[in-house]
Amino acid sequence: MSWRTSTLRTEGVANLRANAFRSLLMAVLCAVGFGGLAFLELRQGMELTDFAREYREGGAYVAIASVPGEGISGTRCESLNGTAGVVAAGAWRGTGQDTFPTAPGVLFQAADVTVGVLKVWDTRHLLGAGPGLVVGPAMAQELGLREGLVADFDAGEPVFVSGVGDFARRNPQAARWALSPVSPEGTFDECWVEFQPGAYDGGREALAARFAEGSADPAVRPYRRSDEFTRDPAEEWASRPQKWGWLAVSGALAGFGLVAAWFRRAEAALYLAVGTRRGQLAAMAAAENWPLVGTGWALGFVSAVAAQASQGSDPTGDVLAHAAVTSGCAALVLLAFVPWASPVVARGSIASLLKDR
Amino acid sequence: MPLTLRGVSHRYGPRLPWVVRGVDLEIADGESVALMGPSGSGKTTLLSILGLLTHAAEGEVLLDDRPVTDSRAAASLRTTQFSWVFQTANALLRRTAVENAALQLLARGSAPDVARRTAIVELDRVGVGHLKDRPARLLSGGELQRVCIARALAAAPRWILADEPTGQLDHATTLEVGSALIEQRPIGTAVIVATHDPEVAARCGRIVRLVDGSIVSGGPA
Repeated sequence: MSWRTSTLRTEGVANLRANAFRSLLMAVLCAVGFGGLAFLELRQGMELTDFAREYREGGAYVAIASVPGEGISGTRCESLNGTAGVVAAGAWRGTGQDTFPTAPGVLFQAADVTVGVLKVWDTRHLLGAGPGLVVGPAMAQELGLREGLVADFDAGEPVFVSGVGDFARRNPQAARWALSPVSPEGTFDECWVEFQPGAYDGGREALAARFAEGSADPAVRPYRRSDEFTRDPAEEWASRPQKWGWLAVSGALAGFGLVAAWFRRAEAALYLAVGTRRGQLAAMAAAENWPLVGTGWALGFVSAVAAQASQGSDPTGDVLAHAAVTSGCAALVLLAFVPWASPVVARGSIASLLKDR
Repeated sequence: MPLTLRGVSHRYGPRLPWVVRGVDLEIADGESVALMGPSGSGKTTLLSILGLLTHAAEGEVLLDDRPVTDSRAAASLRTTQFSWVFQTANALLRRTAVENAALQLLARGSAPDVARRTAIVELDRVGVGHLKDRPARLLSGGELQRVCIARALAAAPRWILADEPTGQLDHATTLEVGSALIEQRPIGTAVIVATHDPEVAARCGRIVRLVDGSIVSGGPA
């Protein structure tokens, strides 16, 4: 004859309600602890995500191949599109300088480009393979050009402007260039290739090998050179200070649980005195504490997401998942340990504990 | 004999003095026994050994001539056969009087509604039925002690052990609590009271006197 399981649960919940202040304090501390941990994860995760995006858009995974003296095959360059690990690839060659009747004496660089290079230079990937002219943003501003207008060169037929490129991040010097999309046949000055982040290092080596076939010594250089000051988001994430925060938070909250149980050890002793076994005492404490831990985690996590969003950076799915897992691990550890606080502090003589109020 | 101590001695640590020394004691079903003696004579320790709250360092406790050895069996017997009333009225202070009175019945596996009904009957019997829904922390010392007695009585135990149950009560309340505990107990239930109060002891059928942990007399009251 002993406690019914359902009665243990209702007894725990009744204690939760009866000790309203302690329950509220526990839920608030859980919300603060789990929410704080989740917020740290969200903040650093989004900071690194934003940095990684900026880094990628800044051309961190772009390599430039050229064959000095010979020029590089445009066909071979364009054929990289669609291969594994390549985001886009394309070639360009300079064709001299031009002026426009509306800006006499002002020189603009003219260049032939394959379609792929427009995708590498313009991070929006909005420029298509239309027959018209693509102009850089500085040139467009100086001449009042925009998509759909017709530009009239001094030496040539008027040309339809098919787009205004946003080259500021990947190739700022092209801001004053007039680019004519052409067939990849023939040789070009440079082949620009953007790789997926994970394929960058291997891709650069493969790129040299690819252009070395049947030609002179190709040169492959990174668009952005890395040095000791270059950040490594993956390394930063792996060594983040709050990586083991789930243990620290669950430990601190379990400590609070132990202190709270210590102040209630006479109560625990009373349960033991009426024949409650220690396992049953733990089950009762679980019924009392699990709703508080769960509620605290949910409140904390939602608050952390709201706080992060209020800083103008809505968390992405993977960062949310990381924060949920980290704070969830802390909650799970606490769920496992906090029910045992009562049986642990109520050790020794029951008679002594009953007097120890 | 149903509850027997045989050569029981106890101390709370290997270097500490013996609190109870070589006690032999037999208590029959339905008996009322007062343990008397000066402070520090070992009354509370002897009581907690009788009630299976403390495991004696030496000697053995027999229930129905069978020794009680392991703590799991002791916990089970505490639930089914023993009820306690303590000096400082031990209760769940933030729970109501009726929830406190029903506690041991719940620990015995009673359904909550049955336990509650029984608890209300016992609260009425000890004169605090009108306080059943009041939180224990808002009750006076005497009221709370009667709630604890109701908790003990509600379980209809075979043994009630009371440690200075009137130690903190005024004279009038002492008489009421003593009456509720000793004279209104269910038939067949034995009560063992550790007390300084001669009036409470006088209500018992037998007085056992302790000095320095040893029984010096145990004749009829």
